[in-house]
Amino acid sequence: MKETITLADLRKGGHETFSRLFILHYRDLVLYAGRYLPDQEACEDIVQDIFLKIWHLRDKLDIAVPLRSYLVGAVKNRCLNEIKHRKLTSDTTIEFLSWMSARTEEETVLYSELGERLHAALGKVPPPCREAFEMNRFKRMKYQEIADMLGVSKRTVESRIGKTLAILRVELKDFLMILLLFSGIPLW
Amino acid sequence: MNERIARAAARYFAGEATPEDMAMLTAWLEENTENAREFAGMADIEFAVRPPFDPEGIDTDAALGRTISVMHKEERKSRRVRFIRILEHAAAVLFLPLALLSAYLLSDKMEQDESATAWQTVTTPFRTNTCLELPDGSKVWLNGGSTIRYPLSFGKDGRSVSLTGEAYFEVESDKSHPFIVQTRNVKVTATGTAFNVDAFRNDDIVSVTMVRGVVDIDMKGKTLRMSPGDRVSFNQRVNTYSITRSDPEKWCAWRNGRIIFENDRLDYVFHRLGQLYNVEFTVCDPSVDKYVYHAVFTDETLPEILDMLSISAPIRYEITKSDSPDPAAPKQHIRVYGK
Repeated sequence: MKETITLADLRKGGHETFSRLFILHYRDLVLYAGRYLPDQEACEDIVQDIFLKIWHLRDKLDIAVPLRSYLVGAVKNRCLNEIKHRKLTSDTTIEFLSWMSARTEEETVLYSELGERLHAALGKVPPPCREAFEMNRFKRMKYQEIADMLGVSKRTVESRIGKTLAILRVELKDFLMILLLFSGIPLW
Repeated sequence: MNERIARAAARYFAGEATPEDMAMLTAWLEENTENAREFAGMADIEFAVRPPFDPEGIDTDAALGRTISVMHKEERKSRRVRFIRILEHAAAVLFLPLALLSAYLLSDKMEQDESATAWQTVTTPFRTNTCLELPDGSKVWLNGGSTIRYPLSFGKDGRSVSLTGEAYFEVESDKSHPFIVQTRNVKVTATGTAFNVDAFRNDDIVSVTMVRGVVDIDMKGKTLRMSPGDRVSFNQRVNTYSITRSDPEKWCAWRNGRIIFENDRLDYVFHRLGQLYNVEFTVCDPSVDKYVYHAVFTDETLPEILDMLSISAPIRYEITKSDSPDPAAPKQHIRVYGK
């Protein structure tokens, strides 16, 4: 579990707490901005700017929630505004992007947060099963392609991935439901 | 979510959605907010598995450096305004720009000098403190009456500075190049951490207070690893040390111009005031020493502090000029009596 930093902590802790907050969330927030804007430099600028705003307004702001939630919301709004302002995409896409952020900031899972969970859960999967799963999920290979590459039958690949999913289901609980539906991998 | 929707969503995230996929998804998303939330959850997983940029290509440290330098620039601007206000209150503050200016001139001169190791020395007058940045980005707050000496660039074999007096360090993390603070008899080794070192010239006791991280401390061959909240006091005269646990804030409060006494005996109170104001105290009535005192002073002058002390503690005092020929010796001598 990551540490939680509040506005009160920031007011009290000064530069040192600011640095901790920055190190804790910067990469995740840039990747989060990347969901909306394809330009890494623009994303980094937006995130840096939001951190500076928080610092300047720390005595004036009134935020009771952990700063992580505030930051996620601020990045989201800035990105959506930027897209509308720059007329980067069609209205349909903007609509989709809004749906993509339909959950509250607290519910939104950032890169390192799920990354850690997924990585930890995969660590409990036997290597041959894990290999097949990663080829399918991360390298986007089809079952037949994986079977050909590993020199095993397609049925073996399916059973290895099935075993992986069974283990992940226990480890990831709430996330898995979506993962399974989403991946479209047949469950048996 | 049925499988057709799931596949359409997968294609959408992969950037391969067909117009039919989009129409189907739109209809499904408009059905209810629960569907939209599910879609958002899928986005989280999708972007965790396939991030939009290479996560390793995002350099947090560099970005933090850039951000902090923007903050410093802006703070310097606003400080100039505040500075003028402070001037009206405390003439002593005048020494601060002098200290900084001399450091600046010195560094200018030394940069021209291409000798192997060019050293920089910064000394602060009593009752001022200054913050400076070392070549590796580490920060030092130097208390009044203190001197720090450091090379203009740290060599390959480590980062070493020497200190007389008191300073608070915030060390940039670098495991392969330990950061070393050397006082006359005590050596503190850190990698990335924050701590306070109190090693005044005339004191028998050197104290190190840990705020964050870990340091190794070497006291004339006696070694020790410290963790946050630890305060180690080493008596250089008899080569013994003691460890106590306490709130580090108390020991670092001087950075903000504050002096905190918390259940401290008066002999310590006088000792600390002597360090900070460069005066010599003599307690003429030993029963006074054991009296426990509790106070926070912010930017008060010494006469103000003494007046407050004599109201709340059973003491009275007398100030005389010191007649020591040593120019570095305290200028004032204060005798304390019981009431």
